[in-house]
Amino acid sequence: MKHPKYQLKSGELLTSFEFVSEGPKGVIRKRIQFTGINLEGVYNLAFGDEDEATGGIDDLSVSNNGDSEKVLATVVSALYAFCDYHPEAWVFASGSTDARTRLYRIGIARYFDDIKDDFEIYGQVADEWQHFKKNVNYVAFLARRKIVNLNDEKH
Amino acid sequence: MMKSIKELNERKVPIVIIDKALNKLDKVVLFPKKVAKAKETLGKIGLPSKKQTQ
Repeated sequence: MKHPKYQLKSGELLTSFEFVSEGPKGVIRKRIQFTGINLEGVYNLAFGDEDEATGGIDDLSVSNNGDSEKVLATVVSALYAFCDYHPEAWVFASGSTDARTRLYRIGIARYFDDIKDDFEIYGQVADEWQHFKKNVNYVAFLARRKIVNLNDEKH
Repeated sequence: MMKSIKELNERKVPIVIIDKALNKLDKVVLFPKKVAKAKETLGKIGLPSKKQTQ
């Protein structure tokens, strides 16, 4: 990925990340979290702005800090880091609103050529998963690191 | 040797600074609504079928 991204900090399990967005609106601390759900090996990916006043997280905020591309590249790089440490994990993501889900779809489409060799990516249409395709509306997304069989590569 | 910003940006797996102070966040669900949605969706439709996956 040849996209500028922010330096990531993480806890030791590489499930909770933090980075700092810098732009015209100033410095905004952002958090990314991969949260295990009640299906083994499945995690939810979410990110949002830290509310400095409360210490809580706002995943509905539109920070307009002029760095959305860089933020997206940083979230994608966190996905690589997480899956490097948890190579068999499934990662689920959905937007807080339909508009936000659409932005996720556009973001995934933008990075699709970069990541398609490394990840299986699916989009939810009604009650089923389909292989991700650009320009299809999905309500949620699912990704897993592709498993490379080194023995196969030798032949 | 120090790596250039360009080299660092081109890495797919980023260099992540491990900060033990962030370990405490692993015990907190920061995005409970999203997690609830993930549970609901996956409880309903599950994961892709084996036929779909590699």
